[in-house]
Amino acid sequence: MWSMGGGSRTVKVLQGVMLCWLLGWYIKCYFFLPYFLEVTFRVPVHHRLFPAFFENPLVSTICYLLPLISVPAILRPGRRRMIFTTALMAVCSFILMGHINTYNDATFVTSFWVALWMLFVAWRYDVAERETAEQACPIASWMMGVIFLAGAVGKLTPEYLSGEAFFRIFWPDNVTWPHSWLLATYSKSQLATISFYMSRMIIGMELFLAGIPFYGSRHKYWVAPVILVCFTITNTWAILSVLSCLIGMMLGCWFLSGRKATADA
Amino acid sequence: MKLWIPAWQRRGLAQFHLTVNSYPEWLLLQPVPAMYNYGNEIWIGDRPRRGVPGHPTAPKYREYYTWLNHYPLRIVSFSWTRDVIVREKGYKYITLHSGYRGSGLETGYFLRVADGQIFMERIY
Repeated sequence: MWSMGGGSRTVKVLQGVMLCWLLGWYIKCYFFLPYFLEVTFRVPVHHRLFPAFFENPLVSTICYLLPLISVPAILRPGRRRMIFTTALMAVCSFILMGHINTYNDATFVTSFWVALWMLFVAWRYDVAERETAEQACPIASWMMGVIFLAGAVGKLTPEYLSGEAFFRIFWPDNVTWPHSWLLATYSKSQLATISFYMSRMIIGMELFLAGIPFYGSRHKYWVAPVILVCFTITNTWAILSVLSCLIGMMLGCWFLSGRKATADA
Repeated sequence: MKLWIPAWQRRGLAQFHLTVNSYPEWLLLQPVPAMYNYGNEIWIGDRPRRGVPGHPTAPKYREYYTWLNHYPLRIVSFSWTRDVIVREKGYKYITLHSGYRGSGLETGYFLRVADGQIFMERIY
């Protein structure tokens, strides 16, 4: 049953990854909705680098809300619908990456790459699953590798290697668990030591994830999401806005490259 | 390359401070992930940290100092700090400093408020 064109496994993967993408996109709606609908209109900001289009608050609001039209495609999938909606997701992410209201949020960077991956899979909607898995999974691995290599390289600097950056970023303001508990339990010098080990651990994990394209076993497709969930627990749940789509893509590859699919295809 | 080539390091820092001249060039590099990159310090006060003729030298207001994980200029735009900047006289100058492996970039902005809008004007 898996070998037919437009096989249900490809469709389920697309539906699952799109849901994870939407979860990440809207998980910070408690911040984004009042921000887009009210703050950006009431107090617009300007910088000479940005063209008028990329400073227009209406553009950022529309691009944030537009991916909601992917819900009908998830409920009633079809090749054209999937192609249209994933392309739309990629365009919205790209515009928000360059918009003055949102350029700084990595949500739109990872969403952009995963939307391109989904577009690739949607394009191959009618192609045999094994063939799709053979191409889509390595592409996803390379995307993951490059994303986390860039993250790790930017931290290979004394500010992060010493733990100072994490110490300064997390302890003064971050009141979410487990930081609030750590802040209440340990002294400043102990927190500096914790920041040192936390910083090195995160860099180590990112370098491990950067190597994903080179790991042969398909177990990497579930190990990576486990690591990303650990990031969420030790950092802040809000980082799911960045990681949720990557978790979905990796789990999608785990599902897509399953033994049954590749054997039957 | 960013690890060892100073020109790439400076380009990465300029991407964060919005000090590049070409928007298309800046936009094309935006898909390069930069989560929690560089050490980014921010000062917001009633004067620039580097002396600029015509500006007061002694602070009247308490300077706000913090670190951010990436794109430090977002402290102006990406939250309700927009209201604080419009309302409070003491927070009109912002100084950013980002460091990476020996390369550093310091940028000063004047936050001009007109008709309820904020204009981020680079002063150095």
